[in-house]
Amino acid sequence: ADDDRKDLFEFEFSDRPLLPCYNIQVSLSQGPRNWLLLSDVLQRLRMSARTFRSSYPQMEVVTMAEAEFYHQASLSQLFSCPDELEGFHPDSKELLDLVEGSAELAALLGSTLECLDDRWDKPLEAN
Amino acid sequence: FDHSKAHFYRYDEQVSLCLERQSSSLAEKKDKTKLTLQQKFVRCSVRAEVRHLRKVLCHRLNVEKHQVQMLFNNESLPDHMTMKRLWLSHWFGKAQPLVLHYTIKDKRTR
Repeated sequence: ADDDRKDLFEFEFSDRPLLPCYNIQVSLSQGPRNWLLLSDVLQRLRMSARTFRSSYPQMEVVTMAEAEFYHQASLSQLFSCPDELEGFHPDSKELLDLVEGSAELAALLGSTLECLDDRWDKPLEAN
Repeated sequence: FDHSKAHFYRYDEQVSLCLERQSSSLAEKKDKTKLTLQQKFVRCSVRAEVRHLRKVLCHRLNVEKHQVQMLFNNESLPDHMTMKRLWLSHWFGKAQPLVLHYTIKDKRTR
């Protein structure tokens, strides 16, 4: 079965700066995944939360405490710049809505995706 | 190809990049719009390597692989360097996106 397995890298391209993406574990039953803040997405789409949820019910939105979000996000070495998490409060009991990064969300935000199979690289290199 | 069996590295932590074209000669500058990425903001797995980025760039710009070189601060980046290593060694403590440059060499020169 491993022979069927392809290792694909996805590259998302955009002509606008990409919204921040956070690698967060939202439940014990699944590992960390990539999430965007729903508020960021709504701002970029100029859309209300209600319209978003009714138009795209298939997109997973989860809610988590800001303090837990901050704790997990601040562990990342990619968020080592103090400014990046400046707007969040480590002790806040407020709730944040997160929407999972997906090809559909990327397309909605105007990005295009390129998939790259790692194994295609080798024969081409030999040419 | 059955995409349901694919592992997309999609649950990896993602790095945010900005790819700027670096032009040196006048001829290259004239040709700038043709060989410049229109979508220069890029996100990918921290496990992607410089060689993967080069390959994707070749595809998007329709050039051959040997024509594309990835640079940071005018220094060529090794093909097998991962985005995570690049970030830690060159961009740690800075805000996203990590700014990289690329050059497109003339097709005839190797």
